[in-house]
Amino acid sequence: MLNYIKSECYRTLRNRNFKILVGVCALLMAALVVVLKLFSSTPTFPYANTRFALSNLYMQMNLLLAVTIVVSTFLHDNEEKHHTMKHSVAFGIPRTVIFMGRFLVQALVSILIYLVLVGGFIALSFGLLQHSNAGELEGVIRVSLGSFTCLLTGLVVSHFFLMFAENQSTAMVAALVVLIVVPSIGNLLGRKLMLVKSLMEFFPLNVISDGGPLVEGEGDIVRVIMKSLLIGAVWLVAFLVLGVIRFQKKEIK
Amino acid sequence: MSEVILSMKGITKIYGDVKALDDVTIEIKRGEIYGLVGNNGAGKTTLMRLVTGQSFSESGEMTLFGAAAPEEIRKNRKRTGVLIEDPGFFLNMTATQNLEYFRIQFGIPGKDVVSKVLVDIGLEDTGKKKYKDFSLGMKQRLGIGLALLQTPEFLILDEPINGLDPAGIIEIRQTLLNVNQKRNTTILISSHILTEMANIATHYGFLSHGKLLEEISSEDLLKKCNAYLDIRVENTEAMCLVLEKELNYLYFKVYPDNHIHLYEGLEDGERICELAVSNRVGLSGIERRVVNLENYYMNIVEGR
Repeated sequence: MLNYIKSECYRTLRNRNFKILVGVCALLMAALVVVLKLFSSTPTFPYANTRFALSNLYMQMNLLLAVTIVVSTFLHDNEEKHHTMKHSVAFGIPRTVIFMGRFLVQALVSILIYLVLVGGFIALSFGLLQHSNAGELEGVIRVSLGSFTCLLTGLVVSHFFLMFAENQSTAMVAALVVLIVVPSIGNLLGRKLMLVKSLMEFFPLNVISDGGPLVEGEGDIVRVIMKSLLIGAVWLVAFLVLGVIRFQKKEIK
Repeated sequence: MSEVILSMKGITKIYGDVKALDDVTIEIKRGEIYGLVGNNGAGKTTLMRLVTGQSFSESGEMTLFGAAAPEEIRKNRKRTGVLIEDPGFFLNMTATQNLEYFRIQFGIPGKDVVSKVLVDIGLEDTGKKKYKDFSLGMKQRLGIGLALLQTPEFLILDEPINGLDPAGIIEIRQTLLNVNQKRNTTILISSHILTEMANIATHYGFLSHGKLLEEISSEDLLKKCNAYLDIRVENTEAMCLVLEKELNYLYFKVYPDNHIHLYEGLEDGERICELAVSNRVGLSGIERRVVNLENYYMNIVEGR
């Protein structure tokens, strides 16, 4: 497993498209802060502060869930066209190691990128913008902690479909349906049907969206974070186990 | 007695309604170069994919290096080197980076292993050129390089000389013969270029529509390689009488679609024609041929 992870890290470090993606994300995040700073000289502009900047992050974690699909796709790097996995299988590397190893590297890289980008974003915000001191930093930390497993769920669901789909587009659509479309439709139905509403509470999208207790910071925060982590963990384990089982019998081209 | 490297008994593989392999049994011993011969769709690649674990059979038994349990077979795959279908590398990485990726993954110690392999396969000068910019021949060479990376005991090569120029074909042939002779590496190889296969294989397996029609060693094939006259007539019975009664020839065989192969009197073509015409057997052609791998295969496949 360690050798496999090392090789995947080696490949990821040389994934030019992924580096461009991260660079673009970093630029956009920096641009947000810089634009706010540019407008700060306007007296009637009320948004040039850390509260607005950071809330754009922790209140948009549902957007980040969609971004995990893109990240996973870039890290998967068109394997269905490259057909490199057959060499790993032919060398006798266990299929469990291949499935889990690829996901672990995606998770590690994503966590690292998240920490660097968010850390940089926070630093830039506090460096350039007016300090609001309205609990925005606590909000970022709280939501980041509570969203951890739900965001990993976004990765694992995408990884699952990418490992089995004939092409990336199909996989991305499938992941989007599971992560975004189903809970979105469920939320609409939930306005009429209480059972559906109750079920939708267990979808990662609703756990990390604004309006929920994690983002709003309502109630017993520790309990809310633990519940959010647990929901994400269940999804994570379910898709990993399903993926490993299914991958054992996949015809590798 | 040589160690059996690969044994497949009663292997059947089905895709939908199609039997890609139908009750195939083969055995490859250590040191052999086993040439798998067959048309497109015969089942060559399917068979190799079963050996490498990319695919699974519906029935049958397989052993690899003597191991039959699936987990032991999987572990023994570390002793193999494989090139199946298109080589399969990362488009935006160089030759060195691609091989280095697999060197790390396979746990092969020594960073100089990659540079040595690149020299062996003639790709040492590719530098920063990305795999997506390689020619077909270069891609194929890199695939062979990967197969040789961990100095395997058993090489499984599916059309390895596909896309190579004549010089490249000779190089690869020499490389394969070297590893076979110096390291006693066993090789399972398929190729459409039968003349090239004949240059290296020690044993042959003939596949057609998923069935293994025949296995034969190159020695036995050589014994069967002799010249003959291929006589095409409308009335084979009458022609046989002509050969027996008028020419005293008994060493001949009659095949479907009105072919007679005559293994003696090879210099009497003109006389045979005269007699065939005068006896009105409906002679349509007479040709001197030599049994080689190509027409031996064609004879088997077409039931001759």
